[in-house]
Amino acid sequence: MIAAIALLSAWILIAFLGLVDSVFLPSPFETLKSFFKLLSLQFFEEQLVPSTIRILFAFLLSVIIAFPLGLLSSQNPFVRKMILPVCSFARYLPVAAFVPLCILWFGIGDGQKVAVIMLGVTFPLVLLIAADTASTPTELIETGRTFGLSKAEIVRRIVLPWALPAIWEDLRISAGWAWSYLILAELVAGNSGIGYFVVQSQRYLETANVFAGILFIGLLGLLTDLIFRIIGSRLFRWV
Amino acid sequence: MTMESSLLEFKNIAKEFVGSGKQRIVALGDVSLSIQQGEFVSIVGPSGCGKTTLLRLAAGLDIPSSGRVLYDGELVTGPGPERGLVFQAYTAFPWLTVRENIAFGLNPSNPIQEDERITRWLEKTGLTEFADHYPKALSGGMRQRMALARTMIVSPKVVLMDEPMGALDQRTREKMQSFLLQVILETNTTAILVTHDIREAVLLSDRIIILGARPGRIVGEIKSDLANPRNHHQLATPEFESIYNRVGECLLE
Repeated sequence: MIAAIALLSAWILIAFLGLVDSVFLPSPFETLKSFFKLLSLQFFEEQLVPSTIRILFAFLLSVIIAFPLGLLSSQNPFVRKMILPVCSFARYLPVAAFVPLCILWFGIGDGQKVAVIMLGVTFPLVLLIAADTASTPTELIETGRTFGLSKAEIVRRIVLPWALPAIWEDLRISAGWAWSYLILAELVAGNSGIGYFVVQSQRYLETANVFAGILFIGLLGLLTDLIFRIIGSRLFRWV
Repeated sequence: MTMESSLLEFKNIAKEFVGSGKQRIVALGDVSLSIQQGEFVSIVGPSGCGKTTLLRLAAGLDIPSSGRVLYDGELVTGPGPERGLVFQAYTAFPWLTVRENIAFGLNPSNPIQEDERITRWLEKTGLTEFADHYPKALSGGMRQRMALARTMIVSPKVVLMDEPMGALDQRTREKMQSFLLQVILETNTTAILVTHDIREAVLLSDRIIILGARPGRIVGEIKSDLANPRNHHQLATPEFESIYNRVGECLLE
């Protein structure tokens, strides 16, 4: 908090004294003005809606792929040996390096953004979900076994309910990554979206808009986080 | 003792594990033990004597390296609801309410009859007012009563207990012992209790099996013939002291 105030004060001071040209560093006031100008129907329609649809679609697809793979990896040694090494390697591949490849394969439209997000999110998410489900205490599983539950019943009645709060938490964190990858994909290529707006503003030297765009992205991330937290605390009251 | 009255039988059981350095650890050497219908047997012994292993073999959670475990004359190949288990740790399902935890093992085929059973067990455990709370709201003793109710509600023939009171403070522990005695008596369930507390073993059980370590084997067997029903006043009697001392001596040998 103190650091934030200090940073803001420094920013105000620099802008007020005119130490740096506003092309490079717009004043907080200009930034705020640009930010409120962004809150228009036009910006929402042209930039926010495409970005949101991309991230929702890509994130959902990543979860749909990662969830069964992660669960199966934790439950079945054969699947684990097949999948986990691939994911462990893949998550160290820098997503940024795949952006040119995604452009080559999917063009500069929505497909490329979805592909970049999925490349970045799916692999680590498989590992996280595998770890979450594998963390089920042995006593709980064995209690289930002594009641004569089958393997499938144990997964449904014990492993999943045990792991869901942790999985939800991991989804919250990976949603943050998804925003970063989306902006990355939009910065490099595209004709709509918040990342595109930022790079366009830079081309026209509308630096206040660049700042406002970045602020907007940050707030969107914060909002996503908040939504996850609120839903999580409603869903998992026992934690 | 007739053959047909023996409910659970260990025949020349040995159990080995592969340790971290790939060396073989012999948890149980050559153990033979027969437990009668309706008996309350305690197993005591130093750590590493394989008491828990013996219990897990009876539950069917582990399979012996050699020898056989027979339940009601049939080979045990896996767990089953007729052999209930209570763990040392308070195994509560945190996402289920107390009522749902107790009802976990029930088959929801006859909801009305089972509702009555759940209500009865909630009353028995004194958890009625916590029925709709999550286990996080419960104390250690309450959780362990809940775990016992969850095991007993499905009417197992044998209840296997692995130091169920090991983590409770003295007063809670005594209350839990009384509760356990009452439940076992009412339901006439055969019980095997693993404990490191000799007083508990002498007070609760009909027979005490003393295990020695490395390899785990039976080094003694002492009958506890205190008058039934048992209560904590018997702790101060000479009879109690005599049995207690005999178990103690056997453990020291």
